[in-house]
Amino acid sequence: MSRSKIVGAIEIGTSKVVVLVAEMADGRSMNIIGRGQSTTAGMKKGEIVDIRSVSDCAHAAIMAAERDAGKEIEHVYLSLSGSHLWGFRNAGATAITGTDGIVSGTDILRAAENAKSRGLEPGEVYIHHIRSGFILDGKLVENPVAREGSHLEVQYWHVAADEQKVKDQIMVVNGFGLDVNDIVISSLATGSLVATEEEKRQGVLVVDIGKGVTDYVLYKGRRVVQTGVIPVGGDHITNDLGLGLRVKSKLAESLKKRSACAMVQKEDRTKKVPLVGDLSIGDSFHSQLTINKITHARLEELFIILKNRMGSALTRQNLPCGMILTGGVSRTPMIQELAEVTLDVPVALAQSPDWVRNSELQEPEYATVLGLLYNALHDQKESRSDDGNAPRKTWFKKVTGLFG
Amino acid sequence: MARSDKQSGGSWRGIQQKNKRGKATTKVARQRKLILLLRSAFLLLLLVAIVTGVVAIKYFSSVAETVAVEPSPGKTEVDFTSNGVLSGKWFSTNFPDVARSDIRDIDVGSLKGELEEFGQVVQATVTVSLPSLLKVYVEEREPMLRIRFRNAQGQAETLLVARDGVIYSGSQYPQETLLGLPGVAGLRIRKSGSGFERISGLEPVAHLLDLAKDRLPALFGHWRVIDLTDWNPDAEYRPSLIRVSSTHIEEITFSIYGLEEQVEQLGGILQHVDRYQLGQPKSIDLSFGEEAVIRYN
Repeated sequence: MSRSKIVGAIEIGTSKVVVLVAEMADGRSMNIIGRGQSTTAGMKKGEIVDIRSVSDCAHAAIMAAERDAGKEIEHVYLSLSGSHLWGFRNAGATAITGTDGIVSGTDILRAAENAKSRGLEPGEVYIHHIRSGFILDGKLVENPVAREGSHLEVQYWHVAADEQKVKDQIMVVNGFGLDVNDIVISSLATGSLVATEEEKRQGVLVVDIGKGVTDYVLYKGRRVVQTGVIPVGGDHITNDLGLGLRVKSKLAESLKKRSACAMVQKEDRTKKVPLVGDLSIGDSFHSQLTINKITHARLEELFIILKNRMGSALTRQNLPCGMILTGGVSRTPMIQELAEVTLDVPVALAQSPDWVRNSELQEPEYATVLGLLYNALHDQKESRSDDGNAPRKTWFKKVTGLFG
Repeated sequence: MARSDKQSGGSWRGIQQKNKRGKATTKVARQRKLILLLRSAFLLLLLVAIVTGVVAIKYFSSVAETVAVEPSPGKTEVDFTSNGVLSGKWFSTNFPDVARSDIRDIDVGSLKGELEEFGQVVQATVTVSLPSLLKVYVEEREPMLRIRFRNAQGQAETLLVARDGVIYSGSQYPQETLLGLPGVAGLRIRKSGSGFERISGLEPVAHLLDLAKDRLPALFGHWRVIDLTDWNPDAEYRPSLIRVSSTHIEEITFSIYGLEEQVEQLGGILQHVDRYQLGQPKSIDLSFGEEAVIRYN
């Protein structure tokens, strides 16, 4: 008998907490039934600095989403970001043990275990082990099973994080009385949503510029090749504007959203922009040129950092599909042009897939939570095909869970 | 998306997720927990109420079935008792429908009324004992005299006169009882509905018979007719006499006043007559007070 699951996707970002509630039927269909949102306090660069304040904001958003949905969340998918996240490539190798030299599932498992066996520093935990390809006797192959060879290598991209920071995020969700079923790093969640399968195959870089940090993921050959977090985001532009124009942070944020442009243009020299913009007496005016120069400088710096991180992977030859920009900062006018000039790759602004029909959810701010739900749906399909290996919450556990 | 494997050792999944009462718990979360708890309690109560309701419905429906099935029509059991001669046979003859009726259809008040319409019955008590028992108890009149009566069709009927003056046609009295009763003559009776009017003022007659039965039983056994031709209950204007005819003495006359003395005097007279062999008196008149008039053959 088919049974629907109520899944909640939670993104605790630097600027806001976004929660989406979806009803999933047997991993086949998903219906978004509730949404909750609240501004965040106690977060800095994607990391929790005041857990009580973050809990207040997150719980308000979860409650709002549950009320909107009219149902209680059963499974939680949590996105994770922050500069504490780091990734590395590590391959595992094994000799083919079969007498006939045919690669079996056991060989792959052994190579995978070998790849995952690298120890981490104390206080660090793995978030993902992402398989990024097989090399059989020095040749890149899609699927080595049943092929003949003598030496198998499995490429993995591992994502690790600071254990305490992950605990803090989990604790916020636990504080509401919910368990976290899965954690997906923000870049993967976003990338899975905004990049098409063809783009992933040919090679594409998805960059999510948020308020505190910039998450990125590089796809090639339909596999994740690299992920990362740059601790630069929209907040840095706001700070720069505040310092450069000598205005308060709140006004600088408003000015950024209203007037900032990523490229400097001729007409900016004469154009003046009101600070408040509501025709109030005493409102000061600032040069558009200054605003744009500051914005341009910070965004250019961000792209240069990105270019340096990616190295030779970020070329037109490697990434025929270029870069996809998303996140709140991607709304900045002419950011696409700036990225193209700086990185020398084609750049596009992210577009939500066709199945996202709600116009508000098509905004770049929702890309990560929608990606989480997309991952949840994908996971359900896999768990169905894997005979449901994931631990299931029994009715008894549900009832006892009410009493803490 | 590329497949991402998660392992337990060194993975974030190793982090304990039980710190639900820690510093991350907020007022909103506590409210939600309380709501869920109350909802669970409400559902539990609702479940209990439904179960109780189902059990109650089943129980009461089974009781209703018992009531509907057991006292089937015509199965009313009658327990008839009396302080006199009437029996259950008399009841079933006169009230044949009762035993065949459903006990719930029997009008107890009406049945009591019908029983008390019989002159022989002073008072009836009818009680229902579920599921099917009807208890009937009747208190009967004691007959004192017999009276012969010719009805409209010219047929002779024998009626009985009770001590309280009620005239009725008796049922189920043994023949000896009826033959032992003296007859009455000179009494005017009137029809009233299906019965007769009650005769008032018969207490002196009853008293006389009691005295005679008690003090002169041998003599009383021969009393055949009580003649009340000159008996007048309203005795202020005329003398009221009771004449008794017996097997041996044709007439014994009593006044309604001083009956005890008269019966005692009669006893003395008879003893005297017997002792001195004076012969059988034909009549004895005791209505003159201390004197008596005795006539011999």
